[in-house]
Amino acid sequence: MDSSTRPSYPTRCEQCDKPMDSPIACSSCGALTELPADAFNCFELFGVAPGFDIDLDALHRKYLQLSRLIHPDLTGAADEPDRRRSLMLSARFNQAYEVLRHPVNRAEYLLRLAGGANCCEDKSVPEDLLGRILTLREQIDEAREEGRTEVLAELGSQTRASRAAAMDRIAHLARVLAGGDSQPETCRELRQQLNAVKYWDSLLEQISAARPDDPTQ
Amino acid sequence: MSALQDIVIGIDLGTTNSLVAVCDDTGPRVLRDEAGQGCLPSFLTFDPNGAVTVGEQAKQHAVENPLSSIFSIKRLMGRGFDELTASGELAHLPFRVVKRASEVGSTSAQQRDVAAVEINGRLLTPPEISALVLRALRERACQQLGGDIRKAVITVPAYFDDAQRQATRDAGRIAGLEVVRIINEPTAAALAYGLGVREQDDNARGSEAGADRPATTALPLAERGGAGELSGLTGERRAHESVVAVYDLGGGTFDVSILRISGGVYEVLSTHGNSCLGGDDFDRSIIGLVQNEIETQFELSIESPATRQALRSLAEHVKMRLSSERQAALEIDLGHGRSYRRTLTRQLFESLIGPQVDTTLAACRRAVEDAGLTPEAIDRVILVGGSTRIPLVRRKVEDFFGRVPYTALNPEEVVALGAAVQAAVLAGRRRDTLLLDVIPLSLGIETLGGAMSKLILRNSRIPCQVTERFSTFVDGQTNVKINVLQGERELVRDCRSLGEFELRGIPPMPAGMPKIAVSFLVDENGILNVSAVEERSGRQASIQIVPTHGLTTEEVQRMELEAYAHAREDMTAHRLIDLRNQVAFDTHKAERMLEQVGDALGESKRAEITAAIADLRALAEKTDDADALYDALNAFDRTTLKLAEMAITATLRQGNQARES
Repeated sequence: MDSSTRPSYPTRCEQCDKPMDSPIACSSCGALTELPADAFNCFELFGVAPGFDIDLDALHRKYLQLSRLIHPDLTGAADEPDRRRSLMLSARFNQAYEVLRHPVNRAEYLLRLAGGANCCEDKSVPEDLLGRILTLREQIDEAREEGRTEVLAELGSQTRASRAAAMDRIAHLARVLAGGDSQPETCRELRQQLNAVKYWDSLLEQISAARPDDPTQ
Repeated sequence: MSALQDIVIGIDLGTTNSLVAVCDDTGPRVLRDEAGQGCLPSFLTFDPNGAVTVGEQAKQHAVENPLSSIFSIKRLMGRGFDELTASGELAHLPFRVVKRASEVGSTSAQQRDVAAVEINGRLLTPPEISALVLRALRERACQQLGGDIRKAVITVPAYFDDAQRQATRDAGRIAGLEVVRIINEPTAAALAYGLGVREQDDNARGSEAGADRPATTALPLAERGGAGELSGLTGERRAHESVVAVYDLGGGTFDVSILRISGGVYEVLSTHGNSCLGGDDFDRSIIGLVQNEIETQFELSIESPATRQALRSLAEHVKMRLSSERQAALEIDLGHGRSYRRTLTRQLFESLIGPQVDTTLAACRRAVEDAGLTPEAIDRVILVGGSTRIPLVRRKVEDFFGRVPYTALNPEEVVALGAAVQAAVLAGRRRDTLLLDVIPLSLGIETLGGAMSKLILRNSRIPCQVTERFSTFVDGQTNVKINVLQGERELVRDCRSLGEFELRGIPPMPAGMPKIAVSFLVDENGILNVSAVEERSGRQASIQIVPTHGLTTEEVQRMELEAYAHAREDMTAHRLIDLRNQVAFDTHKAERMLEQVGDALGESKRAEITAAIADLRALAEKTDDADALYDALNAFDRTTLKLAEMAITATLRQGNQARES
């Protein structure tokens, strides 16, 4: 759907000709883009350069500022087509915000823009991963059955450390991709590391579910 | 006329109480009945000839007519008979709930399961019953605002799933209301609290302790650089921001939402809850205790619906007493000279409800985690819902978040006030406020092998949209069925099925050739909309939706027409009935007060009141003029004012003596 080779988008408002921070709405006159919501990639929607490193505070400010311009509650759309456009634009914009603000989603997206495989097309993982996951899973089950919360906590920090290591690698690879170097090996390793994070996340969920519902924990 | 039609009211459709509010240039206000009550009890009684009474009168009549009274209908909204039976919910309800025979979808593989209430031989679905409550609120608004009101914002628990939201919207339609928006109750509450920001900003800044603020002050939620640790996604403190937790424990539902508020934008970061936990369940724990004790002491089981209903209202009363007192006495006449008596201490009550309150804190913990925060990062905690008057709840919430919760606004009214504010925004009257809410539960589809494949994750901002591609399995196949699910578990059987979406009109092609792009759009109401296009031919595939636990569009339309036919009964007649009931109630009360404290009045005053009682009763019987009766009732209340004051003083004196002794 998105493509990095898309022709450049308008940077001036068609209505008032003022420069625009984002191609979807003009902060000067409030005009919304006439183009369909999916005409822009996630970075373009926010008017930021594609890359792995993003200033989250600035992104959030922009999210609020643009939401005020495009949200159907505030656009005061006069008719159904206008309302629909504002709704679809908001839906797309919210989705883009979720993509950009989470590092995993952002890396996935950069991989997609570089033409890499998605998680259904390539399910492979780094070599030693499955063995480690299986061992941990057994240990979690054991600790849960014996009600040993301190062991669960220890397994939790081990898992988080492994996830953090995978994230470090992902950050490095995503920066390489965003720098324009989309070698097949880079894409493939990034794919594997992103798949690995899914395993770590499901393990963390398992640990969280094994924890008794003690609100003070 | 057009100006009035543009008015949008805000409605809090609650499990035990419902309210309606409106917001004008002076701010939001709750619309009250002639007795000054904002809360309309969500109680209904049906008399055999079909007339319906809603509200306080119905609640009082429920003990006498337990089988033709309905309450807590919100707990049934959007839920199926089978799941209600399985969860044990139906065992607590005195009225008869059945599985509704399906009007459509009989050819569907998907089994529909819609619950309905049988009342005087008539079957009514929960949306139809809720519509009667909504209609009563709408009438109140029409009377007070002087015209025809047709648009409303209705609140739902944040944790309501798609079927429950749809059911609420259906109820609005059946009541003849255009539901311009469904909003989440905790979000509405935050909106009500945040409203006074600009006006209150200067004098309220810097006052950290909220507990002793006057009850009418709005709170500075979007306080500039206020006290408390602020932690955004980057862990940094952000100026002009405040992070708020709304803990909303009502009659039958529990929600917790974490919001970040900055400059009029209310951003929900996460939400969690339980759409079947609330004050009703605390009543039930008292009922359970009493029933057990009666069974062991007297070898009696309480079977009669009237006794059960009496026990239910007694339990509610005891629960409320225990919020202000350390113990409450209860007594039940079991007939044949036997009576059950005991004193229930607050301590025992707390041990009964403790485990349930703890589950709400577990939900708080998960909500805080999902927001990427820690409890210390929350600047403000707001309590909403009648059940937050319970001291144990306050204490536990305070312990969990490590700060004194705010309770400056009436916890029963704050949701309706917030709904009215959002209604004003949507009517274009306010431009300063924007709600950015989330979807509470993940949405997905059934894939091969009975697995749930998530398409939209919980706590995603709404509106949001995901497109998924499908194809065919057989040559020339022209339709595809998709089972849409909501929930967090991995297997289909552990999630709720929202319904079966059947795509039709796919051009015949070899198997696997069609590329059908199905768009799942969760709109600003948190409600799912599905559309589909076959991408090779560009043809729009039509979609027929058979909701698993809800009503089809045709069913809602038919019910709306039926309800409209019923609604043509004269509104004045309705008001007259209410006024006559009020006359009966007020005159009876005056007689009792005369007996108790009348001696202290002069002979002539006593005679005047006795005559006034007779006159008012006579008028109520013969007049059809509601306005005249209303004026007479007010005059009567003025006549008996002195008497009422004396009765109150006497009661207080008794209370003091009891305390001293």
